[in-house]
Amino acid sequence: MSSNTVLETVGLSVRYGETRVIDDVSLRIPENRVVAFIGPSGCGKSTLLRCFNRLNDFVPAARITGQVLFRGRDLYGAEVDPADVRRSIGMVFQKPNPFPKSIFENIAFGLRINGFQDDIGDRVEASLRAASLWDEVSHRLDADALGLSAGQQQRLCIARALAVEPEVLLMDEPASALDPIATGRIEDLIGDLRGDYTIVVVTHNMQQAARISDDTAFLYMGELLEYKETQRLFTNPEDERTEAYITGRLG
Amino acid sequence: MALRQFDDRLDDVTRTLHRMAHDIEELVRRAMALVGQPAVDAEPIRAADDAIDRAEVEVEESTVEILALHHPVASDLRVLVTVLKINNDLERIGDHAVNIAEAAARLAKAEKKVPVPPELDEMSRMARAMLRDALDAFVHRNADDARSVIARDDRLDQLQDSLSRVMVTHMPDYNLSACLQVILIGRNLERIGDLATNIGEDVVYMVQGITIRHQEGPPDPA
Repeated sequence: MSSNTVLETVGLSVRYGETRVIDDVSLRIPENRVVAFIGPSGCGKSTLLRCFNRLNDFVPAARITGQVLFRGRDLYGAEVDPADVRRSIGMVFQKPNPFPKSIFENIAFGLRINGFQDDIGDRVEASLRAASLWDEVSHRLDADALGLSAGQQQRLCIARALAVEPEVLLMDEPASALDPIATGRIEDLIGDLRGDYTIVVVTHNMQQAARISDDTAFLYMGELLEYKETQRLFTNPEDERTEAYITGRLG
Repeated sequence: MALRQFDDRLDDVTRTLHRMAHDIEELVRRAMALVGQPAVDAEPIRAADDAIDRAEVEVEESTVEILALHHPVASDLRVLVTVLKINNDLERIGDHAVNIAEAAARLAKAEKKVPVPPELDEMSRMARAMLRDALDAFVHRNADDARSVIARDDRLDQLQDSLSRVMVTHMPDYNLSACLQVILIGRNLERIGDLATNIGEDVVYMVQGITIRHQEGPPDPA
């Protein structure tokens, strides 16, 4: 494994009951890259993303074979605490899901339960700044987070994920519930975070994948068909099915 | 992406380009037919070139509109980028046809006639065939045919060299300006061959996604 690989799957398969949703996927995600997972609905891209912070643990019927490595260490090893995994590998979901608390508490809460005690105020500010939200909320940190716009709520969720100093951010359709302006801000934010974090984004929006990612993986029926630099995948894909999908001609 | 609409518009623009290429080949043929005539009027060639210039603008506007509205990627994107480049090359070939007609007019006015060397005819046939075949390769998306166009360019260059040598040799016996016009006509045909070669290179990019410009020889596609 090259030294800068952060996440790696080796022969990873995931079944939900009898249905195989991920089929023998091996891929490496290098440090500080933005990687997009694209593919038609049901191709397994969200399932694959969820394997990276053990969210599939909550799905009783899910059975995982093969390996998921984080910095070379098996994420599913017996000694690994899923809570530790989720602190190092944060997740942002499609629908913004702030807690029904103040803006400040949304971030401070996660910090406290993760054992941070000092400098909570500074950390909240730093996280809000990193998520490009500080200027909009600095004067009303005690306001209810649910009063923010959807785009602001999503950036708050990103701030919340950043507060516990993860190495990796997983994003599952982070802008699909947002209007074009809020989407643009999330995409700019991903651009700003690039270089400091390794980011994996699942998106249905191929233009978005093309705009924001360094590398793109195309999944189809649970298989990883093509994974390469985004610029190459979108100008000259090798696999006919990739070509068909990105040009809207699949099926 | 509204796929049927996209495909229809791409077909339209491809057809316009093919028609333009046919008109330009005909224009080059007509311009060359003027060479060696006792009286030459270049005006009809200029007028036909104006129509080609308008078609060029039309193709460019349609292509930009398709790019803006449909955000094509992969082979669709390569086709549209290639359309833009071929469109530009065709317009320039039209300009070369006008140059040839104007040189033919000056040649007709020269006091001492020069015999038109056979190289010029052969160059004309070759350049027009290269143009036709490059556009056929574009329409049929055939990289092998495009490469065969590129391979013919060296022969055209050789003919131009040979033509220039012959004319320089003749210069002391004939009118200097007339000899220069013949060289100039050859030079324009040679440039048409270069532009057909560019089109061939662009077709290889369009079909295979590889750039073969500015290389000694076309690389193996593998």
